[in-house]
Parts: sequence; C-alpha cells; structure tokens
Amino acid sequence: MTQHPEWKVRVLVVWEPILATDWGAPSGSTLARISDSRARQFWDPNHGVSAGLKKMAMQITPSPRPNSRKGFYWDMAIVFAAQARWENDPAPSFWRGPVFQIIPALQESLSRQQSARSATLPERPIFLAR
Amino acid sequence: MTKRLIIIGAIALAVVLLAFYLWVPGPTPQGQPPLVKLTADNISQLTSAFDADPDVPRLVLLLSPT
Repeated sequence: MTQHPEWKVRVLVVWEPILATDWGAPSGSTLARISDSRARQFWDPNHGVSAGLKKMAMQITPSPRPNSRKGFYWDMAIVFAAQARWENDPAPSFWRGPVFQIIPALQESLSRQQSARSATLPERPIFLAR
Repeated sequence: MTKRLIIIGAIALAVVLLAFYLWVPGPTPQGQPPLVKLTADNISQLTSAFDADPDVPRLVLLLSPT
C-alpha cells in the first residue's frame, strides 16, 4: 500500500483470535504493522465478519473454504470492486491467502481495480450549463 | 513472612499488568480511527465502514495478531 499512495482504496483490517497465542486484542505494535491512513482496524473476537463472508464466498467458483480449525476464514485478502455494498452480499473479485504469499497477486488485482475505476471516471470535470 | 508477601504482591502485579495488556487494545497508527471491538451488537460498524466509500475498491484483510 505504501508503494501506491495514489491508489483510491479503502482497507478494512479484521484481527481475529485464531492461534493459541491470540489471547487478547492486538497490541499497538501489531496494529502498527498496518500504518496506512486508508486503513481502518477492527478486533473481531467472535468471528462475526468471517461468518458474514460465508455468503459472499459461495458466489466464487471454487468457493473459498474456511481455513481455520474452528471453521473461520483467516489470513486472507479479499478485494471488492467499487460500487459493492455489504448488504447485497457482493461477489469478491479476489479472495486468496495466506497473505504473505499472495502480495504480488493482490497488488495486481488492486491495480486492475484502479484501472477499471479510472476508465469509468470522466477525464475532465463536467460542468452543467443552464 | 515479608518475603512471602513480596512474592504474592509481585505475582498479583504481574497478573494485573498481563490482564491490562490483554484487554486494553493498543493504539492505532496516526491517521486511523481507534480500533473497534466488534460484537453481535455493533457489527454494523464494519459494514458501515465498508459501505462508506462505495466509489472505491475495498480490501478486507483477515489476520490474527500473532
């Protein structure tokens, strides 16, 4: 993200207790790993977001399966195109993990999203005359 | 007796500090809003954040702290 400050993107970081050492909310040093101001961070001890994503996962072929022992999604990066709204259970355009292995593919996906977004925007401001 | 009290006090202090470390979330980096703890009652805070910028792509990262 820091390599592309020009990208228009909203990042939602959801921290979940998955490993035996995840005893509590993420510390300041953990949260500092995502320092970009376009990000917003959440602590989800009850895995509500993972549950909410299951419907969206069904819209992808093959559907991503929960990858934790207890049946939750984690260590995943999921991209939604512009105009997606949560209540409509939008189909993600990218859903892969583990995160540290898929950074290049994620960057490519976000780059494509930026290009698609630019193509739909007018090159010049439109002024409406009376 | 005094030595035993000191040991018990040190253990109690360690427990309190550990509880504080575990239950009080750390601060978010500058420029970000504070960390939100999601529950069944406020999960809408995440969905609202998702829908707040419909004109741009959204990236959701699912991570574990350790």
